[in-house]
Amino acid sequence: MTLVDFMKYLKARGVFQGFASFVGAATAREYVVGLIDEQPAPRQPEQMRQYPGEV
Amino acid sequence: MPGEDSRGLFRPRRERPVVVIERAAAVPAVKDREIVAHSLSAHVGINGNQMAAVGGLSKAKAATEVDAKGLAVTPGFIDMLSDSELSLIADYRSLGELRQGATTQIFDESSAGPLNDETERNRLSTQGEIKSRVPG
Repeated sequence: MTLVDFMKYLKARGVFQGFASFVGAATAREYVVGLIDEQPAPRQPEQMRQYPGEV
Repeated sequence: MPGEDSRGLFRPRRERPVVVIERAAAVPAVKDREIVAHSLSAHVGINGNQMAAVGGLSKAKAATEVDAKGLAVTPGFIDMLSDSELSLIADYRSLGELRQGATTQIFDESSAGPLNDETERNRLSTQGEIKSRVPG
């Protein structure tokens, strides 16, 4: 699910307040590394940096 | 700023305000990042979605007039660190935020996307009190 999908969903739900979103660093880590409590693999920090491109 | 009087208040425009809030108080007036007035009792005229006038509007007539004695009137606050994504799915009105004056929410850490299949499954399986088929 993209962030845009989620925002469209909220709008369709009828949320009438203004809303916007940052892309959270925790979501980038969750996306690339998962929820495991380990150091990222050597290539993963770069993947996390590239991650917002998939918004 | 056009329309400002010597006290930094806006003069009423010629258009008739749609809403007049009477006796609004305790509005810190900020000009160039300096607080120029800590508290004032004034009328606020609203036209469409704009504050059209702030100041003495005691003679103005409007379709809706609200007595705000003892209350503060401000523009809507922006919550820059909102974590209400799931709450908004459960109740789109977000009264908890709205009643405190926040009219805009910016979602921050742990944003709702983008998610891949695994992170979607993780979020769906760890939902607490609020259940949703959409991972927030």
